[in-house]
Amino acid sequence: MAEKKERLLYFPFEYSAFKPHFEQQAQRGWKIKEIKGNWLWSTLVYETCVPQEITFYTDFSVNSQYYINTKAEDNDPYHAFVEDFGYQYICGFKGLVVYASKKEKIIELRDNNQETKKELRKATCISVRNFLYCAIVELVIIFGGFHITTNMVSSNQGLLRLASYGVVLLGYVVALMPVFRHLVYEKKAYPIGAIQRRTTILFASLAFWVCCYITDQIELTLLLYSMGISLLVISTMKFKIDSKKPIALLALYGGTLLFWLVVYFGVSTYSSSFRQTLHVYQPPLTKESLHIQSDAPVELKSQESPLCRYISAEYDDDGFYSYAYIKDTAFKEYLVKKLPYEFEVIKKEKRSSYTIYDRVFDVVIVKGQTLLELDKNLYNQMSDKGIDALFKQLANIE
Amino acid sequence: MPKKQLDTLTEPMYYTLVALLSPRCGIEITEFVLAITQDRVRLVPGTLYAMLSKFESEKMIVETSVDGRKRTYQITEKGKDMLIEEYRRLKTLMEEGKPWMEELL
Repeated sequence: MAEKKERLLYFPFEYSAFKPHFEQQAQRGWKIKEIKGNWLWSTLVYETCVPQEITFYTDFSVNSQYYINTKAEDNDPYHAFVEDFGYQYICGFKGLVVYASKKEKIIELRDNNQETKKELRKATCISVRNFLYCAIVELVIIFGGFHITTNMVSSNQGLLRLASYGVVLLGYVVALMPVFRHLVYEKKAYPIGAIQRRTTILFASLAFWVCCYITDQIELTLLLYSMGISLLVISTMKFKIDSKKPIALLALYGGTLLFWLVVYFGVSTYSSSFRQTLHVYQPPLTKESLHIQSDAPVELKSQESPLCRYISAEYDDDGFYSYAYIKDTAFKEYLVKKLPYEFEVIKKEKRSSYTIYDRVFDVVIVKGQTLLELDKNLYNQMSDKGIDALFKQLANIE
Repeated sequence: MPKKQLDTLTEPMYYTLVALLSPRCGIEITEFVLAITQDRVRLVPGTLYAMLSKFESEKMIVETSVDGRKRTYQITEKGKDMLIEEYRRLKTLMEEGKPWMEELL
């Protein structure tokens, strides 16, 4: 039996919004089967059924705030109590309880008296508390994540990170705003559309942060994000389109592909117009230019070389260099200030193959070209004078 | 912080305690109250459950039997005292206001 899932962020005071939603889904051939999830969001699982009129009743429960596993939820004495009134318990999670009615003559589950309001407030507060616990842990991870694992260099990246933080905070504010309105102004339940939009905004904000985290670069973030949106659109829309309409499905996939292509070319154009083109840097580092006088073969004395204070290199197995690293923070800042290029600092994890230096280095690459390429025999012979010359050359790269 | 005792009874509370002078389960309480108030007071499951939980924690009612998932409740001596007190209060209110209220009717 086919299933579909809907992820929503709701609070107990919105229980009445779900009744028409579940009934509408049943008319479309999707019957609510189970609700599960975590402290942040809930996953509503539907199974296929013959399109039919089912009368659902939704309610809130203070007790079900604590349930993560549905078996415990099933044993709630409240369900047995309500079943005597002609309801059949379907599922429940995080304060929302779903029943179907077995009787034609229905007794409403809730009235609008003070006792109900008090209970609802209690259920909502517990729900919000649990949500905040989860949100705080997540925010700590989000705000700490970048600083632990990467090393920001350019202002470009700084803005990107700032934007990602702002977007995440905005997502949480949007998610909690209805609670604030309910508790302070006693606003009633929102329609299901508002709950869906709120969930989408929170997920979208978290996804944006994930994209920033993975790529740490504006263009790649936008690309990855647009791809994510494409997939999301496909997954949400295809359930709404009847599978017997192949043209509509084709249009959906085609439209999504088109959207992604437009973003891709847009981002490519943006990228090339905003970034300076780097003339391929041919290392002009010769013995003469670096004031190296000796012709004698030199042993590898990386730790002793004056240049090692600033630059190190990774070698292939056969002894050829592959990347150069900036070890010294002051030198890195110097480069950032002096060079008119966008820097991309890529984090390199500590690997066993890094036998020369047992520490983590930043790889500095400018537009795909390694900025510093040094022959190991050469850089080991560089004197202080040579280093000065190197600095000078780096500052004058065009 | 100790739980606050119920000072006065609301209308649904009063009728619920009256219903529990005999052992009854949830649906029976609702039907009884509907009958004696001539459909005026309708106790909905959500409210009734919360009320019964509260009465039980205050030891005003007690669970008398469990048949499967169905639970039956009955009023306790403490509950009866509270009900009698409420009845007397309502009666006093009526008697004290009678000379003036009768004229209005």
